Formats: sequence, C-alpha cells, structure tokens
Amino acid sequence: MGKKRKLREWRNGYLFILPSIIGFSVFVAYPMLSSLYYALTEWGGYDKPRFVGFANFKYLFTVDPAFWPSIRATFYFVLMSVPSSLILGLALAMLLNKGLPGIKWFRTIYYLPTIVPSIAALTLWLFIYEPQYGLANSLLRALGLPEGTWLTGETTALPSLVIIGLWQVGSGMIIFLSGLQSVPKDLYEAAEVDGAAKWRTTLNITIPMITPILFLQLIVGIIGAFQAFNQVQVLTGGGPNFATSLLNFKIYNDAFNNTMFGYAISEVWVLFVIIMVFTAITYRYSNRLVYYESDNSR
Amino acid sequence: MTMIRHDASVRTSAQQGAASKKHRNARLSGWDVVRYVILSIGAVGMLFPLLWMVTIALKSNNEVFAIPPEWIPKEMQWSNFVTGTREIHFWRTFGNSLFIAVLCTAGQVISSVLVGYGLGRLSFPGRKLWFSLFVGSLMLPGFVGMIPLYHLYTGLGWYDTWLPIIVPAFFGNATFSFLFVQYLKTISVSFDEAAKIDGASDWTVLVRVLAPMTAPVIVTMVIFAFQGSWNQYLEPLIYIISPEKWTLSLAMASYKGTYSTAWNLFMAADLIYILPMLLLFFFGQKYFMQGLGSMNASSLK
Amino acid sequence: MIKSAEKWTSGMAALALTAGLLAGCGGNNGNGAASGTTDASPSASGSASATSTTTASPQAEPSSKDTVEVTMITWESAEMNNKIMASMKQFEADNPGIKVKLIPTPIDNYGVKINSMIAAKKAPDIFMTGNDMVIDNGTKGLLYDWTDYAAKDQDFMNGFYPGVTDSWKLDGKLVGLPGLLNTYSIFYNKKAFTDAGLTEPKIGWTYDDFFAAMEKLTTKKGGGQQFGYYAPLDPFYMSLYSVSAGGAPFADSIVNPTKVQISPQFLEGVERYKDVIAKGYMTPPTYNLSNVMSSFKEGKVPMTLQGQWVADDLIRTAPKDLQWGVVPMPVVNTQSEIYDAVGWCSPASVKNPDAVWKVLKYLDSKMYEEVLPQTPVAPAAYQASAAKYFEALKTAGHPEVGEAIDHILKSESTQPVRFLTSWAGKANPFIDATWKNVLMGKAKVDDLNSMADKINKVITAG
Repeated sequence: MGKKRKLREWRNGYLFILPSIIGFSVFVAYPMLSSLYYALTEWGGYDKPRFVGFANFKYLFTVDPAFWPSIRATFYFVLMSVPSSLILGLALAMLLNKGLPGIKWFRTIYYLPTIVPSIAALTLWLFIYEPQYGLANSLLRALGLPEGTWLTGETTALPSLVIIGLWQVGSGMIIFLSGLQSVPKDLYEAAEVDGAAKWRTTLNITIPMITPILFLQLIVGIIGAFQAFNQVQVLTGGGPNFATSLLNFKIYNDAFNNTMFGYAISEVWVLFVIIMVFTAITYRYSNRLVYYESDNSR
Repeated sequence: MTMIRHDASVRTSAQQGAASKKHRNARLSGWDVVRYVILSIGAVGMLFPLLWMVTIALKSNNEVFAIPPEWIPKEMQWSNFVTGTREIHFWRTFGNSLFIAVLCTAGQVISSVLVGYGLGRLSFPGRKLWFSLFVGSLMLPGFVGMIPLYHLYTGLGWYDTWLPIIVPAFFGNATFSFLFVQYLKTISVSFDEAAKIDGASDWTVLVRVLAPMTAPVIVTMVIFAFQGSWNQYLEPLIYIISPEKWTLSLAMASYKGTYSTAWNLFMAADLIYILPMLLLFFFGQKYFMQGLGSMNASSLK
Repeated sequence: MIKSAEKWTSGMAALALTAGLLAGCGGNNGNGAASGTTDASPSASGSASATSTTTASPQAEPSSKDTVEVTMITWESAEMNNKIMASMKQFEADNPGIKVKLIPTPIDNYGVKINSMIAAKKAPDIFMTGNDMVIDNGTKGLLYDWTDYAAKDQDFMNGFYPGVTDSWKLDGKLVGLPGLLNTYSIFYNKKAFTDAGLTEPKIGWTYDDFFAAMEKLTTKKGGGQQFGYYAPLDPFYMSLYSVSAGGAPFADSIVNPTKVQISPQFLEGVERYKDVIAKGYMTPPTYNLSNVMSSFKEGKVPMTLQGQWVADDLIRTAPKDLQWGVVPMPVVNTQSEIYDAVGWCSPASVKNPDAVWKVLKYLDSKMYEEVLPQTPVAPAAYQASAAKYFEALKTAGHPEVGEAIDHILKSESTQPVRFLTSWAGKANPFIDATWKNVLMGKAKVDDLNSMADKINKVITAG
C-alpha cells in the first residue's frame, strides 16, 4: 500500500472512531479520573469532600460486615446467571432459526418479557414470588407440591433473581438469532451435498461460525451480571441476611441512601478491578477458541 | 476446530438450483414437530407472568391481594386503562419519550456503526488500544459517572432539559460498537477489497457494501437502543423537574404512593407503555430475519 | 452517486443533531398552561373515585414586580397535594403578593432528587423532609437556619407539642420544622380477641398480657399459618421494652447518640421475643410485611404494629364489617415511645426568607387544620391542628385511635426510630448482620454485645 493511502487510512480510522473517543474522554475517563480522587475522601456527594487516604479501603476490607457477603453473593450470581443465559439463549435461537409457519409469533413471545420496563416487570415478579397470594406458590399448592420460600429464603433468594433474568433471555436470544442468520446458507447447502448429518453440521459449521457472537455475549454477560442492581433494589433490598446483596447494589445504597459517596466510589473501584480481572481471564482463555472469518481471508 | 469449507464460486448454478429445490419441497419433519412442542412449553412460561399482568390491570385494587389469587377478576375493570392513562397526562409524556427515544436511537446506532467500522475494518496505530479502552469502559459501573457528570451538566446549564439524555447518545455506545465489530468479523474482507479495487472510499464501503450486509445487527441495535431509551429512568429523574418534560418512565414511577399504590392502574398503564416496543419488534423482525444467506451469496458474483 | 449518498447521510445526521439541540433548548421555555402540577399520580386509596380537581397553581411569571413566588415539594400523593394546595389558596388570599407553587415529583428516590436539586441550586423553597434527612443535610450546612425567625415568633413556636422541635435543632440552630408526628401502635381485630376469649387491650396493658394474647391468637385455620402478631422488630423497638423495664435505651439520644447499649433489660426483652418467634406466635424477621394491611382488612391479622396513617386508609377502605381497634404498645413498668417526625425545611440558598417563613408557618399549622380532617393521616406537630385530627377520628367512629395517639405523644420518654446521623450508613450493616440471626436463634444472644461494640467504634470514629 502506498504511503499516502496508508496515511489516509489512519486518518479515516480516527475520524470514524472520533465519536467514541470524545464519548470515552467525557463520559468514562473524566469520571474515572475524578473518582480516583474521591475514593480517597469522605464525601456526601453534594458538599465538600474530606481527604482520608486509604481509610475507605481499609474499612471496606476489614470492618464492613456487608462487604464480604456482597462479594460472595455477586460471584454466586455471576456463576449462576451467565452460563444459564448463554445456553438458554443459544438453544432458543437455534430452535427459532427455521422459517417455519408461525415462528414469527414464537419469536415475539420470547422477546416480549424483555420489553416490559424494569419497574413493571420486577414488581410483577414481586407479586408472583409473594409467599401467600403469589402465583408461584399457589401453582405449587395446586400441584400438591411444597411451597417455596423464594425471595425470603437465604438459599432460594438468589436463584429466584436468576430465574427472572432467564425469563428475560429474549434479548440474548435475538443477538444469537441474528448471528445464526448470517451464517452463509451456501455452507449448509454444501454440507448437505456432501451428505453431512444434522448434528455434524451444527457442531462443525454453526457453532464455529457464531463463536464471535458467543464470545461477545459471554463478555457482555459477565460484565452485566457483575453490575446487576435493579432487581435487588426492587425485590429484596439485599436480604435476606445479605444473600442477595450484590456489590453494585451495596454501592448504590451506600452512595445514595447512606450518602457515603466517597466510600461508595472506593467500592466502585474494587468492583471495577474485579470485573477487569475476570474479563481479562475470560478473554485470554476464550479468544483462542473463536473463529474469525475475516482473519482467514487476510 | 475442524470445519467443512466449500468454495462457493466453484459450484455451478445447476447445483445451486437443485439444492434450493430440495429445500422447498421438504415437508414438516418429525424434528420440526418436536421443535414446536418445546417452543410451546417455553412460550407458556414466558407468557404466564405477562398474562398475570393483564389480570391485575383488570382488577379493582383490593382484589389484587386476594388469597388465593384469581385469574379472572370478578369484574373486568376495563376503565383502569382509561383511568390509568388519564391520571398522569399519559399521552403528552408518551410524546416526550417517543421524541427522546427516536433521537437517542438514531444517535447511538449511527455513531456505533461508524465506530465499529473504524475499529473492525481499518487499521491505524492505536486501534487495539482504543478497542480495549472502549470495551473496558463497559466494565465501569455506571454510578461513577453520575455525580461528576451531574456537576458538568448543571455547570453547562443543561439542568431541567433533555440534553443530558440526548447528547451522550451521539458519542458511541460501547456495547453496540463491540457488537458491530464482532459481527463484521463474520463477513469476509474480500467484499471490502473488491469494492476498493473498484475505487470505493472507506465511507462507501461502509455505506454501500457492509451496511446492507449487516442489516440484521443494525436492526438489532435499533431495537435495543430504542428500548434502552424508552425505559430509561434514573437520568430523567435527576435532570428533569418540570412535569411538561417528564418522560413516560417518570410518569409510571409516580404511581407509587407513600402509603398505598394503585397497582391495577399501574399495570394497566404499563401495558400501554410497552406497546410501541412490541410493534417495533414485531415489524423489525422481518428485516433481519430475511434469509441473509442469499444476500451473501449474490454479492459474491 | 457516491457523493450524493454521502451528502444525504451527513445531512441527516446534522439535522438530527440540530433538532436534538433545539428541542433541548426549546423545552426550557415551558409549554403554556401549567395544569401539569396536579396530575402526578392517581388516588392512592384504591377506591375508583379519582379526584382530579385542578388546583389553581399559578403561572411562573409573577404578575407584578411585588409578587414573590414560593415553590414547594412534597412526597404526598396527588390527592393529598390537591388538598394542600387548595388550602394554600386561602393563604394567597390573605397574603396578596405571595404565590405558592407546587412542584410534583415521583416518590421513588425522593432523597436523591432533593439532594440533586440542592446541588444544582434549583431546590424549591420548601420541601418535605424526614428527621434523618434534615439532620444529614443540616450537618452539611445545606439548610436555612430559621432560629432568628423562630425567636421573633414565640407565639407560633409555643403552639407545638412540647419538645417536638428539639430534634430539629442542630447545635442550637433550628434547621426545619416538624410537620406531622408518626406514632406506632398496635392495630387489632376485635373479633379475633373475642373469639379467643380475650378482653380487648387497653392503654397501659402489660407485656405479659401482650405475649399471652399472641399465643391465644395464633391459629392454623383459613389456609396456612396465622400468627398472633405481625410486626417488624429491630433494636429500636426492643429498646422500648428495655426502657419500660427500667433499663438503658439502645441509643442514648434521638438526634446525636453518643453510644449504644445492650442493657440486661434489653436482653430480657430479646429472650421473650425470641421465645414467641420460635413458637410461631409472631412473624419471624424474614417475613415480608409489605402487604399485611391487605390481610388485615380481610380479617386475617389479629394484631399488627403499624403507623397511625393506616387508620386513615382503614376508615376509608376497610370492609364495613371489620371491627378494629388501636392500642399503644404495652409497658413493663413505665411508658416509652418512638418519636418519628416528618416536616419541612428550606435550602440555605432561599431568596425571600420573609415570604418563605410566612408560607412555612401557614403550611405547618393552618394547612394541616384544614387538610387533616379530610385525610386524617397523622397528628400535626402543631397542637391546634392536631386537635382537628383527633376530632376527625372521633367523627369517623374511632375515638380510640386519637386517645391512643394522644397518650403516645404525651409520653415522657421518647426514643429514635432509627439512627438519624451521618454515620448511620456505617452502623446499620452491623445491625443487619447480627440482629435477625439472634432473634431466630441462629446466633448467640451474646453476639449483640459485639454488635454494640462495633457500632460504638463507628460512632467514635466518625
């Protein structure tokens, strides 16, 4: 490539990503840098901060009784919700990938739960999980099964939240679906011509071709799960006994209900580092498994 | 991983015709029936809570808490839908939300596509760095930005306007950019190169070659962006004061009273709230479900 | 060909951007008739009668140079807001030159909203506040100091119940005015008592009567467990037992506790409550109490601890055949009650303190006098207005509610309902981590002492 052309490509590259450069600087870098300072202060958020050095971190790791339970709850939550959402989302997408009559309705039905706004959906599930007059327990009663403790039980509260997430797996399903749709049809036809069995096709064509999407969903899923918050605020308030006190919820609570903003920001940094480490590990291990069509042709 | 690769350009048109004919003539196989059964069971699970929502919307408030819960309310209070919308100046806030959502969607999708293309197809120094930074920004919990940005916006005089909500949308969405980059990786670069040989600029490659091919993911982005904006709650809560500028999400929240909440009206209004999203999705399906495979093959020629 | 496509897309983008900016600016100018102040939320009582009376809140533009506009925010429902503003009309008539405007807001995250408004210097002149918020904001210097005005207006200040304004003073500075006093008493189902062969509880009943009644009122009929007593239980309520039995309170002051204590009497209370929880006479700490009142209306709850505001709801929406009564909490020896007030305060940046003070006084007295009889949610901190509240209850056929509340308000000993200070955020998790487990027998009662120690460390540190 000629030098001039190369320079032009460099310039174009930067031009194209300019919106995000600005966005990153203003909405990410700036808050992050200022938060580096605030994490070392005691600050109510709307008044003057007071520098305290690493006191916040020390308190967090050694004294705060809510911290380690939050870490535990958060990890459980990520480990429970991410794999299950991925598998369910992919499975549903594969089931819905055929142009059969009426399939359009099914797709809409599966996507429906995700378009209900958070407040409504979560309140709905609050009703459903209510031990006395809620739908869940009355169904169990009708079937003669023992009632569940759902949100009030220490061991059942977190899974109950995960179930709500699975109910809203529609959005992940859609991404998989669009990924599946983009697998060139001639690959399948060629396989058919070569006489390959259905499951072989799935294993050797479909899955590899969508590994970029799978990878995306994994990373985004992990990051999202670590930052889960809404469901805790509406449904459990962190209980029972810190079982659902996800770290991001604790941060929100400390920042806005307890007005300990400096402390909350130090917690944010801890969460951020955790997410970064986890994501980096995931990235390193799964990147090798991803197949990129564009890499092949270069 | 082993993989069966077949160079499409070698096949004759006769072979192609034979293959598609086989497709058209296939009847519903046994596997298809199984497919339908599984999907139906799952669909019931998905719909149950929503039907419950409809039931609540039709009840009187005291009935909502009856034990055991009833599916069919004693009296269908269809008026709840009317009362629910009237009480909160529904249609005006609906218009507000719609306006904001359209702008935010356009901003996010356009900027993310631009950024995704730059990161995914162009090479320039620092590309890998910026990519990591953008994706890395996803890991930052949103609350960090809240207070510093709040001071920024109020300093700019944007308090009690829609600007803090709309303007950021035009500066790229990391998730969508990431999505676009990954999606682009499934499309062979030979398309780009073919177009460039014909003298196309980077911009043209994006708009005329890649955009049509990435239609599925773009439509996906539109759906997600619209939904995100439609349901956005915290920013409008903090930045908007005047009731004329309220978004629908704020209006919905005002149903919660200190001492008691009219759940039935709340659910009724919510059902109307989700209608635009529903319509958008139902009709948007058509665009990205179209056999993309055929598009891929035809562009090769 | 290529150029035109390019032009088109960039043109659209520019158009969209400009439209967005214009819209943002355009929204600033306000759109015509501000009838928007009343329709924030529907009637909260659940009955189908939606009162969408238009309150005449005036326009933002003052009609003459002398008119001062005072803005206010509450967290009440639209129905209540309507009534409040209707009363303020009378104020405006008496005080030409002052206009009062209500800014509606969703209740969710009220604190966040108010704090952000203060930070943006756009806070309303008067806003409703809880006791803890006012202390928190006051400590940060965000509130207006009304001490001087109060000193000049002794007549007005004397109209309050004795002692209620003490918790609204920080270092001697009056940072807000209490408006309504929340009291906590036991709402009971008369039929449940007679069915169990018990006499109705009366003011001054003892904990012995109380626990005995719990036992007799627990049944298993009607599908599922029916407890005798449905209530939350935290160290602050337990502290009532402690003080009543002659022991030390949990927190040694309402506004600025210097330490927490677990006295022997406190432990005695813990043991007694643990006992009834274990036997199933009372709801365990993990029980979800948010919809207890609905069950109460159906006659399925014999006794429950509630704030007096539910009386208003019961009077209006409970089935006619529900026989209910109210009695203050029992005693061991002496009386001790929870003090929990909500009220009004102003941001430090108020521009027209004279006008605001006038509105504030009216709001806190006359307004309640008029509004409470229509919606008896709570007794006013101002005695004359509280009298109207009691009258309204009597007219509705429940004089015992007023008697109970009056008795509670006259209690010599009062205690906080929660930590009101800025270190509350750090102290509360210690309670969360230990308290429930101790009550349910999952942790040793002795752990309460270490809990208290940790809280005391936090107090001395912050």
